[in-house]
Amino acid sequence: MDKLKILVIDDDKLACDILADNLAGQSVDFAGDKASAERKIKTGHYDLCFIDLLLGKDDDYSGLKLIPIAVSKGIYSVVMSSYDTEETISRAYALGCKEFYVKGNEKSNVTAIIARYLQGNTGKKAQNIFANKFITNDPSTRSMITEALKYAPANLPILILGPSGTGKTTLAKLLHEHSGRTGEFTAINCAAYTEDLLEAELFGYKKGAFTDAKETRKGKLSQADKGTLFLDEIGAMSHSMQTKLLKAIEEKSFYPLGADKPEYSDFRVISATLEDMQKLLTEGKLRFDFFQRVHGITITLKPLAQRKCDIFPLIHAFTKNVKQLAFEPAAKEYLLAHSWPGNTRELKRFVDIVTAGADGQITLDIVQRHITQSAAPEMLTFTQAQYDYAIKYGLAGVIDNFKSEIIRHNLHENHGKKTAVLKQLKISKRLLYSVLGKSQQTEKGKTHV
Amino acid sequence: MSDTNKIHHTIKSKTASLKEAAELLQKCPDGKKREKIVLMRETAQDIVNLLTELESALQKT
Repeated sequence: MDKLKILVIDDDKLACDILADNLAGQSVDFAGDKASAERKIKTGHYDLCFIDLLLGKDDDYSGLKLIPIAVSKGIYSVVMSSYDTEETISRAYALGCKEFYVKGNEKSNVTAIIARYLQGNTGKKAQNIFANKFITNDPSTRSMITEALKYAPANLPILILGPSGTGKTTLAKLLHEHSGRTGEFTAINCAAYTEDLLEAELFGYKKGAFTDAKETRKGKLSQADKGTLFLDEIGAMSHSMQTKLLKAIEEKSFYPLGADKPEYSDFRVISATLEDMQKLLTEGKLRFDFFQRVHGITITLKPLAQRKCDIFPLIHAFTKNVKQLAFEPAAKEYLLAHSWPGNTRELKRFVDIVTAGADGQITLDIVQRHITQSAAPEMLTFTQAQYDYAIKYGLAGVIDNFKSEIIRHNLHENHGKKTAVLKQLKISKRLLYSVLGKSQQTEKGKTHV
Repeated sequence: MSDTNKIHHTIKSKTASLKEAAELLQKCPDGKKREKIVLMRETAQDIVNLLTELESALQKT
């Protein structure tokens, strides 16, 4: 986000210091009296100004006189004053100020003001969002994202659902850019870490907190101070981690590993998962209290197969600064008929491959070489033997056997490393050890025969 | 605008700033903390002076 140019007009040094802290990340200028403020407004180029009404002991509320001067320069004028009589407030608005705040709650007021300013400005940039930031021509997706952006400036947590490769991270970044928050966008994929590593990544650690902690390291929660914390794949988080994170979200404070003092961070949470949320809740994988804390509003992104009108705009965007492609009609039809199980990510991969190739004219043959219509892996393929077993002994038995085979196969591929199995298959320790326990019993049974 | 009104207004303004600064103080790095404490002390003294002024004004009425 580009820095906003802000003028703070206040004679109180402490008040200016507080606003400077709350406007960290923006370009801030100060004026302590009417004359210097007027000079700066007339000669400078500011996006917003914060005006105190009483500028000095002998001043006669000259802040009011500065409002029309700022407004005439197109500056978004905000009054922040403890002089909040009804008459004063009416007069300030009549003179053209956009917002009037009583001093004393700068932290949340400033964030809201910046966000509202950006949102007002977004109207001018709205056309660009769907052409450059989140490319879609699909009316329902556009409508949903436009609605979601209205909540971007609020502190409300947002949950994004959708299959892999549908743009959850892109949308999260877009929401952060429109939030008015001055801190960073910090992302973490919860499925990519074991529980111990996830805790270290999120909360940070002090040097010596554990064997490999060779230096003190800031965690993602600290990095996201005044910004946005994006938790991808929250379904992969253990109950224990959900509890710890819930506490940090509620209290905005936490202890890094090995620390005896708490750290504070004002972060906003956006989370995402490709899993079925209802299923995560009913199966108990997601704690309900944690879910309540990460879900203020929910946005569900459609798979690419349900918005095929986006395929060619996306291809156009992906080839913006590289070799341009031309598709023969049969190739176009094939692309439109494909189910795109990998969604936008799969399409990007396809574009990267064909642009790297020698041909700019894309034929059906080239498309078929790189995309197979049945690329989507079947979630449930079963043999006749499994089907017969299910009929004879019940479905539960087949499912248990299927789970056990997958787990044992994965353990073999990972050379016996259980941590890798837990991470790759996203299963609980209890399930893994239950399968291994049954395996050992089977082996013992065999040796006793 | 009467002087008493201005004094009331300024006391409100400065006490609000003091409260905000107190909330930010804990999170500041040490160098910034010292600067903030100096400003807070000056503001606290301003409040004391204003209260004295207000008291005199009340005694005159």
